[in-house]
Amino acid sequence: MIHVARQGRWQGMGRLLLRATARDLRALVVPGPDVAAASGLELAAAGLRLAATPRHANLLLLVGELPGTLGDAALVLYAQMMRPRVCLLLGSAAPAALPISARAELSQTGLLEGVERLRECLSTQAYQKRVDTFSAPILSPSDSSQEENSDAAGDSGHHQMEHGDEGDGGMSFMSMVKVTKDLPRSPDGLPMDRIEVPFGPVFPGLPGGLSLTFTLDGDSVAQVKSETLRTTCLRTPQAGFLPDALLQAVCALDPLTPVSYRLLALRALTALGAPAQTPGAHGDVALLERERTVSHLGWLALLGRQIGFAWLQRRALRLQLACLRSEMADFPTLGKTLRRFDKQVRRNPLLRARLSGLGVIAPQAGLRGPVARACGLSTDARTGDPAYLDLAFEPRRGEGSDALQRLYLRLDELHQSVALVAAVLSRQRPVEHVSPAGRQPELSDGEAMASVETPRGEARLQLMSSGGRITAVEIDTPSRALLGQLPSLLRQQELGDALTCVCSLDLSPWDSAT
Amino acid sequence: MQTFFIGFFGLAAIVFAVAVFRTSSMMRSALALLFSQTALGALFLALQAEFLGVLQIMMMATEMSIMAIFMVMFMMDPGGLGGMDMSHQKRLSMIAGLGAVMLVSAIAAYTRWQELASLSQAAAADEQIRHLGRELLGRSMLVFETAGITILTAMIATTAVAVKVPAENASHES
Amino acid sequence: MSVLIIVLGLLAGAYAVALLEDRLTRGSFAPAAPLLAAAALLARESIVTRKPDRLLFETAPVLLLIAALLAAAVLPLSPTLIVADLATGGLFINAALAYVLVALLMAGWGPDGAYAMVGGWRFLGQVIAYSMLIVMPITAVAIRAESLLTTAIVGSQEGWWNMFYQPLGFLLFFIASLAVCFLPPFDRPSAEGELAAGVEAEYTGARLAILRLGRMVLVVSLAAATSVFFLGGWLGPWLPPWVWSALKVLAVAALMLLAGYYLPRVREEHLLAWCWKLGIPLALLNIFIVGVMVLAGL
Repeated sequence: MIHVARQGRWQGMGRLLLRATARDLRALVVPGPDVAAASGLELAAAGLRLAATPRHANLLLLVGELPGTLGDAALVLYAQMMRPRVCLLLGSAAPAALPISARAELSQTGLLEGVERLRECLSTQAYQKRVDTFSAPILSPSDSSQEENSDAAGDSGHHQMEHGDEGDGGMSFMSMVKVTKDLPRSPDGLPMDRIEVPFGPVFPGLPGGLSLTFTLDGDSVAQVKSETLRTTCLRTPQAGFLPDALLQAVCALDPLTPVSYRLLALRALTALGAPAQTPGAHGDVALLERERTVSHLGWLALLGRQIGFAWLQRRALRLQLACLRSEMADFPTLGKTLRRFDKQVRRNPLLRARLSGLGVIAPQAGLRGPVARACGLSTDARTGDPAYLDLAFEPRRGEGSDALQRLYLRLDELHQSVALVAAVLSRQRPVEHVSPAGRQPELSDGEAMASVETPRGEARLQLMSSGGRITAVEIDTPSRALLGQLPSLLRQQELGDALTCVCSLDLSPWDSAT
Repeated sequence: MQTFFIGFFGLAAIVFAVAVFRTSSMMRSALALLFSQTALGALFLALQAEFLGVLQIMMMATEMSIMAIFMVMFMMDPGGLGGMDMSHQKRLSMIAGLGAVMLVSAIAAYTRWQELASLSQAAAADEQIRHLGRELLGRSMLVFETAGITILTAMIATTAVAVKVPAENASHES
Repeated sequence: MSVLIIVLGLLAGAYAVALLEDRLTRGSFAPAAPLLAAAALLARESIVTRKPDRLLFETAPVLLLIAALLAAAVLPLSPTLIVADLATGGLFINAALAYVLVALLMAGWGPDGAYAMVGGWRFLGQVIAYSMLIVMPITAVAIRAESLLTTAIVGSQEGWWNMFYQPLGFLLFFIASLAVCFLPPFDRPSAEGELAAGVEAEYTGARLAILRLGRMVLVVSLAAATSVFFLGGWLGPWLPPWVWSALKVLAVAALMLLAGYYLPRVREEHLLAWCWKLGIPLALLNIFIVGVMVLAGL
């Protein structure tokens, strides 16, 4: 059902246009194509093209569960899309105000099915004599959050430069100096009007869900504000979590790396006395390392989109899906392809020029994951894991601290991960996750702590239980600390460089959610 | 035909020139000036001065765009939406404008157009370019080279003045 | 008559460019995709942003298209197939291309959106970097032809195409022409990952269709210019002249798109530094070498 069709009736020539509208689907993905890819969706195979802004899109594709803030963003984005427009929901829930044209399950078949249905209804109902207008409470002008959530730049252009009330009337030639004397100065001493521009939560070059607001001084970044997603999935209910509910809640935390967080929750529960549900220590390694490969490739695809490197974007996405869909036993055979890919990436001279010297982060305590390892620290939760030590694991380290080193490190880790999985396979056939026991496991009272090296760095989970329920949950994730570094890292960077810096950190808006 | 185009582009140049002062938007003002100059270039074309016309049309596009960014950067309210009065020194400009009009009219009135018209027909365009080349690299070479070097020097000097030496570097050097 | 043929040729070229662009970004070959995309754009709403400079907003896409068409007007597809064989042809094409800048500044300023505005001014920075690299190789080409007539320039390449006679100039002109068309790796004004399509961000429906068409025609015009100035235009054995022109134009256009596909976007500071510290000295060297070769009678 197309709730917001375009007004008009079309015949003859119009029919052709109708068919074209149905064939030419430009998708705006919420939260983002990165989440879609991590969920195993191949948008191109469904004939979808990615739109850079809601203005160019006619299909709003909602993937998975949207936390409250993203739901509001989806409403704003939908309002900015041109009619005829449709909305496809893959997954469970969407904001009630959003007119959903079709829903399907979160899988490639679901996507194909949904797109087929959208095409059908677009080619028959895209134009109606009477159209309803779309409105939602968040869109009313009194609601100031609209601008913050909107992806399209809204109105941050010249009309913000209104300064009507200052010294009108007697404004003489030289009063310019007087007018500008209180304005903040750029480093070059020129007073300029600054504009606040939202980047995200749905922005082509940033991870889906990450919402930054840059105060731009010309085209350099003067200030950065970041806003994290607000999720409620880890809010402890009054009576506490049942173990299964906790497992689900932690898994849902980050759609980009569900396996790592599932392992994290399982480990913490096991420490509290629940029966082990993981496929054994080495099986964990295989699952984690495959996800690391998938995640790093997803990051490369995002980087490719951010820096306008179409080849990298497409190639990394294809490899990511191949890794995600491969059977564990076949996974190491991808190693050769990955090595060739790595060589091609490293050989590109412009890529080196583009990334070197950007986003320098000095080695310091508190850094985790690839960002820490790229600048020479050996911070890695895996070094404390007997299963990894058994496989003679040694963390890779880089020798610089810029975006280029982070790229190299992640490329290195791709091969390392494949090698680790191959080593595991040579010892045992890995089983996928053990299916959960039928009844709720018994938990002992007390406190337990577990940690997992996710693709973005170490995540720690602390649980407190009493009476078989979990009463307190404390999670410590890798992206949150990095998010705090953004303002100092981006200050006075050119806009494009600033976004590349952000991208090079591989922040996950999900695991930094509050 | 030629007279029509001369008149048309001449009027266009004037209309755009008026538009420069009728708007408070810096961007519109700069672009109106650009199109006024472009119309002048087209006028040269209509006058069969092909090289001059094309050159004018080409140079003005970049120059006026660069002027536009400086106007937008340095002026308050570049969008012209704040209702700020942009005009100043009205009396002086009126006198200057009037003087210019009188001067131009005087030149037009005292030129012996008949004699000029009988003097020569415009050469073919490629012939003009050849003449121009010989002029630029012959008799007028010194003049043009001097002008060129002077402009280059001015550019370098301006850049040198504008670049602020960072404090730590300055202390190293001294 | 030749006007009609040239315009149709440009449209056909634009279609080919769109097709190839789609192929590169999506990976599958869909011959109807550009037409469908255009039809869908026309069928979609086209809105004006909230506080636009309406005049500039509406003019910009049309001006871009006109600039691209004018640039093509002085380029011959065969000895007789040319709209206007101006005595200042080599200069005129620069004049036409200068208005690409004006169109993009208008498109950036007009809609009153921050992404678009930054995109528009970015192109000004880009022009400052590349413009000399358009003009100076053309100068060297004109030196060899001893004329600014584009037909004479093609005629001067009977023996050696300029691509081999002055490879340095060809390389510089090719790179600069990528920057004129704001194609990757110089797509800074319309960068997707940095500005969410920049100057194109606020255009919708029919207006966006014209803007995109203008850009594609611009790519074809620049490819045609490269072919005329450096690849000997219509020259070639066996086939009729216009076929040679068409083949060369398409080949150059494909090369332009492919180059961008394998390269990441260039940073502003690098663009300026490379163009001025490396490009311009090389272009001067090229002029010098060509001058010596012409004097030596090669």
